[in-house]
Order: sequence, then structure tokens, then C-alpha cells
Amino acid sequence: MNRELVLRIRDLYISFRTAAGTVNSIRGVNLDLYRGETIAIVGESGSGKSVTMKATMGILSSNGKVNDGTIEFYAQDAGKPVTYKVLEMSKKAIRRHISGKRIAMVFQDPMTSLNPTMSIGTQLMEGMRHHDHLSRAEAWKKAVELLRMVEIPEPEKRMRSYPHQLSGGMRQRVDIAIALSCDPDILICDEPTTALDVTIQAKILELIQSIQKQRNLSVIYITHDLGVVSKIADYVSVMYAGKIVEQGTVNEIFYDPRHPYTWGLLSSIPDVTSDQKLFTIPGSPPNMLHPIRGDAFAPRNVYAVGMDYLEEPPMFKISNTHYAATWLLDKRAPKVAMPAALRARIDKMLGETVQDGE
Amino acid sequence: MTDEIKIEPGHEFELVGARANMHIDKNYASQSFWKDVLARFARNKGAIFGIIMITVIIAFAIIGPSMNDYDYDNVNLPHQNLAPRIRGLELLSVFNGTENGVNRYRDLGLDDTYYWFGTDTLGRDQWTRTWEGTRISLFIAMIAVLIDMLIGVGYGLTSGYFGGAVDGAMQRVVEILNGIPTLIIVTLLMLVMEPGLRSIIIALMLTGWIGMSRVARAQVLKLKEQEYVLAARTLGMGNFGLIFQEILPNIFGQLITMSMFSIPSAIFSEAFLSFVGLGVQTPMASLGSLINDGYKSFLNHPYMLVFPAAVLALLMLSFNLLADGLRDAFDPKMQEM
Amino acid sequence: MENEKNLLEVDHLKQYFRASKSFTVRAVDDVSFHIRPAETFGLVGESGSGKTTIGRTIIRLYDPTAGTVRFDGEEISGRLSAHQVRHLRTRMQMIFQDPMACLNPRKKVIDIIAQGLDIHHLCANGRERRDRVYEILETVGMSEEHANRYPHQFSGGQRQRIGIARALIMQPKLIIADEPITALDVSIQAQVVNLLKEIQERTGISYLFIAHDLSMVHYISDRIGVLHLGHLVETGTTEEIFANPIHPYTRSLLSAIPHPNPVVEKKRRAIPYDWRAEGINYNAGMLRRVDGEHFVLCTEEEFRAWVR
Repeated sequence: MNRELVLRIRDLYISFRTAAGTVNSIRGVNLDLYRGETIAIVGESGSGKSVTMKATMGILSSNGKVNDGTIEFYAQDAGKPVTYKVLEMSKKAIRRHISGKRIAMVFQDPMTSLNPTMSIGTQLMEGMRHHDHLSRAEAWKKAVELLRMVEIPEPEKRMRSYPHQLSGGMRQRVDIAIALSCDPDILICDEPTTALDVTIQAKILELIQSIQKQRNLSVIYITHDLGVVSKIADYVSVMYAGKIVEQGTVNEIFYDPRHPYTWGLLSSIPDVTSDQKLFTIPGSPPNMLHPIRGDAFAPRNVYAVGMDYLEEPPMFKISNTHYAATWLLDKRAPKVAMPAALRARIDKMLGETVQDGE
Repeated sequence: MTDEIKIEPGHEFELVGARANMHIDKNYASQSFWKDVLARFARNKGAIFGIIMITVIIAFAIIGPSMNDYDYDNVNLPHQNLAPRIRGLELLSVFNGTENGVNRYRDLGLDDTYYWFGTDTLGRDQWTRTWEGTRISLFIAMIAVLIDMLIGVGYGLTSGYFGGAVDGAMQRVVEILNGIPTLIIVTLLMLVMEPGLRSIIIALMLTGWIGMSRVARAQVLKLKEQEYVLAARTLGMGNFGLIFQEILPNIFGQLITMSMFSIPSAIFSEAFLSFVGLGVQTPMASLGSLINDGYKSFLNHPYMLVFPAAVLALLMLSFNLLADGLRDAFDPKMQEM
Repeated sequence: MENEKNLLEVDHLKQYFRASKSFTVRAVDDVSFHIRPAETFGLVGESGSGKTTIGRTIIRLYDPTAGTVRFDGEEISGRLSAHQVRHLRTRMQMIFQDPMACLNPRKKVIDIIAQGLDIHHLCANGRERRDRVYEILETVGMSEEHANRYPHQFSGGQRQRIGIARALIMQPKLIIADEPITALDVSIQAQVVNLLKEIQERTGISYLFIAHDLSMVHYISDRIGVLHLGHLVETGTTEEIFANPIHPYTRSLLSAIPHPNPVVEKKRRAIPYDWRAEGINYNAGMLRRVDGEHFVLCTEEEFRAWVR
């Protein structure tokens, strides 16, 4: 299969200067995104999932500093391959070549990501006229097409509506339309459905999936909801405290997780088909003001070994696509299997897939 | 952050397990709100300048008049219009008693007389009068804060908390009051009272608290529906307790800031009214009346205007810097991540 | 369903808000349900369903427009005597959604938790007050040393525990939990929910658990009520609702829950629901019994069409 690399992040280190001190938000992140595929970045608060993507778009806040690493974006410019080294580009260059045009972002809160004083149509056409230099008439036509694509009824009428006249779900659809208006190569979605009702969420996810197929779009989806991940992701990266602790295909992560944090996350989701007591990860995510010694997850890790407190575990290879950063995978470590309850649950799920004809 | 843990060499790969319990993260700020505020305030150079300046001016207002032997109302016509002269600072051309090349001290044979800020057209010592005037301005500042806190905050809290028809009525009253210029009120008061400090204070009592009441009301509206206020209601707390225990401590910072901002305008109002003759009457001196007198002789004897104007300007600037510093200390701009 | 043993009975509760002269928001439109002692009732709905308004009306943060609420045998929806107010404000408590906003930032934890005790003068002296606060801190999984700190020193999950402690120290019979876990991280949500369950097992307390996350509601609730646009469209035990959802809205809601099973989830499609298109009029229906405790809001024809 011919996989075309679109985005590559290597050894990213980012810190922030705050009133309380320096926060080491990202401590070494690697990511590869290929054309037409969806990566889900899963993490809780403080994991750094949003920060990584903001650095990719060049919209890191002013007190943030990239201390090390590269972010490279590969595209085609009039048939010829071009490499953009995002971290070395000036803000102006990023605005001209990348933001909105090649990489577009959909944000979490549809209430605040649309300008309340501009009509929908104006906001849709803004990007197109700025980046692609379309005339007003052309931009208008394309905007109506986009609204139709995101399944907004009566798109011509809606062009003149203002954001406050639309519901949350519709606003998010408009956000997606705006993001797609300049035909980007990558779509980054930062928890786009967290603020929406679950029925609307389902529809938005289906919409993103169908658009991705139509346009062969690469999508990075940031979320903390594992149910959403299982629906839309091809690959999953689980982040904790500024590092990726496990990554693999979605099937590998859900059916064969290896990192205790992933076990904990999967076990924290209530299972509507059983009555078992929910397993919980003790403690809370670390405050990133302190430098961390050893594995950041160790204090909350029921399966921690001594080494976890001394040295940070490297990424151990499980398969060509599946990696996990836990000392449990070291050959010197005791053989630890995932919790029995989780094992039972996964077996049940695998049973369902067989029934479904996988 | 993990506490120290002993791992024996050779045993690194034995299961140790989780060591997290409900610990407080040692990094979250462990100081109280007020210490935080103080620390932020101390870092603001403008605010420190402001507070030092205010302290200096207050100090001079207190001891200034008694530093020399002249009283503020000692009319001494032979000594009129003398330029400022300070013993020891004569090398500075400002303080050597000469004006336009004329040293009237020498002309009059007054070698041992020193008027530090000069004298006015009636021979009264400007130094003493300036600081007496400053006392009045500071007195007005205090009154303004008091009125703000007692009337303004109370009015705004009540209006905002009870809402509905009560709020509507109270705000209409405020709007009407706000529409009347202070000058008109003072002029009307003059129909029934003598012009002077009392009429100014009454004018302030009628309208000077409106800005504060608006701020207080806005803050209450913001906090009224906060969950911790609702929680206190569900626990059975009465209206009084809700206003004073739950809401007020959380808006105190904004109220103090607003109060500090209203001081310069109160001081200026008094100065202005005195300037147009509606404030303190002679022989009492206020910075405004001194400026008025000095303004009349400005072309010939600029020093009569310059000193009181400088003190007034410094006073207002310092309070503004102080208020700015307070506002930033109470409400720091949150750096996002 | 009238039953002397019910802890909470809500009958035909209506809460309308006058937005302007011509427009009234019907946040809660004729809702009836009951909660028994030591039971958890999950109230599920999306935004605009009225679930938060119901909670706040029951606890008298708002005065109900119409309908009655009976708590522990006494009517609490009309004019309340001082004794009734005291009963309501002690025996019924609430925990809130936003851990950042539910605690007064200027108060110490000990004062926040002991607030109810202070208001009703339930402690003889400072030592008793302190001991009771320490005891309740242990119950919610925190420790004495936390009592002298300020809320901003704690994480979201810890603050939520403090909120629970504040409610629990009053020894209530019913706690209304208004989306208590929505704002928390996934791993912390499980902690808080398990804590609530544990407390219920130990003290026999009842919960009105308001949420929009059906999976969590399934985990914690004994019985469920599904709200849509201010109407209770379906109610029953958790098993009844999940095994046999009748109302199209309930079915749509259940179908939208994402399952963490990639192969299945990728193919699954949510069932859409459009009450206007399907011609459903909530005002025309009434609660009809399907089975056991299972009720659906519908007209006669709808009942025949939906229930097999």
C-alpha cells in the first residue's frame, strides 16, 4: 500500500513560562501522519494533546517556547513536492502557506470559534478570498457547496444568518465547512464534539468520516473520549504528561493494549452490557511544573516496577505499528497481564466482532 | 511528584505498585489570596512609585506647615510676590530668590528671610499654604472613599442582588442622578448654603458614589448565579449571609480598585470647584484656589501656579498608578497554555 | 405512582420562565416521577431538556410554576414554614457540575464543608465542628491536612469531593447531583462515581443523578428517566430501558452512545430522531405502562405502533 507521509513530528519539547514557574508541557513527542488516514490523540488534562497541535499550526501562545524538535509538513505545490519546516517558519510565512490553506483546525467550543458579528457567509468566504484569491461570486458559490456538504439545510438562506441564530451542532458544521474551504491536506479537530449532545456528536463524526473519504483528507482528532476514538480512528496515540505512552492501530490499542495507563483508561469506561464495578486509576494527573523523574505515570500505576521511579521507559516495539513506553515490556520485567475484568471485556467485544462478520 | 523511594540495585524490576494517595500537589500556590495579591503588587514598578509618592505627599501635608514659622493666613504685604528661596539650595536658579534677574530679597534687605515656595500677592507663605491645601485634598479623598464604600457599595449590592423591580427602580434613580452635572448641584446648594468644604462634601454624597454602585452591581450580577452561591442557598443561607459572606469577599478587590480610581476625580472636582470660586473660601487654601490665585499672576510670577499645580498633578498621578497596580494585582492576566 | 414509602414524589411539575411578553420558555413541562429510599434515579437528557431546571426546582432554588413535590412525606413545593425550610435545607442537598465554580475561592476547605453546620447551628463548639469535618474528609477519600487549604490548591476531582463532603456532612436523605462528573477527566469520573456508590451502600442515601452520559447513568442508576424538551418521555428500571427502549427518542439516544469496540463501532450508524417529522406531540401523550415499572409518554396509536 502506497502510504504518503503528510506530517512528521520528531522529538518535540515545549515549555511554558507561567507565573508559577516553567511548565514542561511536551517532553518528547513523535508522530507520523499519512494521507487519507485518521490519527486520534487521546489524553486527559495536562497530557499536552492540544499543545502539540497548536505548535503544528503555529498558534502556540506567546509564553510558550519550543525547546527542541522538528515538525515537517509535506505537500504538493503545482505538482512538485514541497517540505515545510513549520518550526523554522516565521509567523507570517505560516499564515500565508499553512494556516487554513494546508492545515485547518476545528476547535472545541462552537460558541466562541465563530465571530458573532459576521454572517456565516462572510466567514466562509473570508479564507477562500484571502488564500485562493477567488472572486466574490466564485467564493459564494463554493461556500454554498460547502454548506450543502456539511448537511446544513437551505444553504443559500443560511449564508446570511449569524452564528447566534444557529444551534451548537449547526455551528460546528459551519466550523468544519470553514476549515475545509481552502481544501487543506490536514484537518485537525480539537475535541470538536465535547460540547455537543451525544446525538449531534454522532452525526458530526459521521460527517467527518464521509468528508474524509470524499477528499482523501488526513485527520488528526484530539479527544479524551475512547468511544469516539473507536469510531473514527485508524491509528491512536495515547498521551500522558507530555509524552506518548502507547501508539498503534486502533484495533491494537483496543483489543491488545499494553500500557497500564491504557488499561486504566479502557477500564474506566462503563460497560453498558455488564454490571461490573468500574476500575479507577488512583490519584490525579501530575502538575507539570516539576521536572519528572522516571515514568510520569508511576505514582498512579498499580503495575509499577522499581525502574519506573528511576528512569523513563523508552518506547518498546510490539509490532511494526504498535509501540508502548512501559518497563513491563522489558525482558527483565515480570510477566504482567492486563486486569482480568478488562480481559473479559475485550474477549466479549471480540466475540461481538465475530458475530458482526469481521 | 514522588517522594523518595528506595529501590535496591538488582531489584529494579520488581513490582512496586502505585504510591499515589490524595496528596496535595506541592506546586499549587500555597499562599492565601492576599499574599498573592501583595506579591503581584510589589512587582509593579508604577504602583510602587505611586504608593511611595502618596506617602511622601501625605508626610509633607502633615508636617509641612509646621516646618517653618509662617502661618497660612499671615498677610504680610511688604513681602508680597517674593520668589522661592531655600537656604542651601541657592545654586539652583529656581530657589535663589531671583526672578527675571531681580532679587527682591536683596532689594528689600531681607537676607535672613526664606520663603521656600515664595509668597503670593498678599505676602502669605506659599509653602505652608500649599501643604494646607494638600491636606484638604487628602481629606476630600478620604471622604470620597468613605462615601463610595458606604453608599455606593451598599446601593449597588442591594440593586444587583435583589434584581427585578427593585433593581429597575434603583437604577432609574441612579440614571437621573447621573444626568445632573456636579457643578449644577453645587451651584444649587449655594442657594441654601455657604460655599465651602461642606457644600462640596454634600455634592459628593449626592452623586460621587454612582460609579462605584455600578461596579458593585455588575460584580454582584456576575457572581449571583455562581455555583458556590447556589450551594450556600441550598444549605439554607439567608440573603444577608449570601451578600456579605459569599459575594462580598470575592468582589472586594474590584471594589477597592474602583475606589482608588475615584479618588483622583474627587480631588480634581474639589480643585476645580475651588478654582471657579465655589469651593473653599479665603483665607483657607486648597490646591484649587491656590491655582486660581496663581493663574492670575502666571505671566509675571509663574512660581505661584507651578508649585500647587505640580503637587496636584503628582497626587492624582500617584493615585492613578496605585489604582492601576491594584487592578492588575487583583486580576492578573492569566497566561494560557 | 403514589406510594407512602417514596422519599421523593414529583407530580406534574411545571417550570415556565417568562422570557418576554410574548414568549415563555417551558423548561419543565408536566414531569412526574418518584424516588425511593436508598435508590439512584438517573435523569437523562440533552441540552435544553430541562434536567438541571428540575433539580433546581425540587430543591427550591426556583419556585415551581405548577405541580407538587413531596419530600419525606411533606409537601415542599408550596409556601414553606420555617420548620419545613429547615427540613428541606438539611435533609436534601445538592452537588454541582463545575468543580472550579462550586467552592468559594476565598474560604478555607474546613469552612466550606462546615457551612451547613454553621448555618443551622448544629455544632456545640469548634472542636466538634473540626472533628466532624475531618471525619467527612476521610469518608470522601481526602485527609485532615486538606482542611486548612484553599480550593485553588486542589485538582478538579478533589474539589468535587469537597463539594460532596459539604453535602454529606448534613446527613441528607437525598442528594441531587447535577452533572457532577461532566467536567472531570475520564479517569477521575470513575473515581467520583465509585465514591458515590460506596456512600450509598454505607448510608442508604438516595440520589437524583442528572447527566447526559448514558453509560455512566447506566452504571450508577437503579431507575432512569429520559427527558426531552421538558417532557419525561420514558421511565423505568435501568434494565428495562436499556433492554427494551420504546420511545423513538430513547432509541435514538441509546444508539448514539459510542462503544469502545472499533470494529463494531466503525460500522454502526446512529438512529436519527426528528419529532416534528414523525409527528409526535408530547402534549398529546400521557405516561402509559409498558411493563413492570416501565412507562412511555405516548398516545394510544403510538403505543400500539411502538410496543410489540
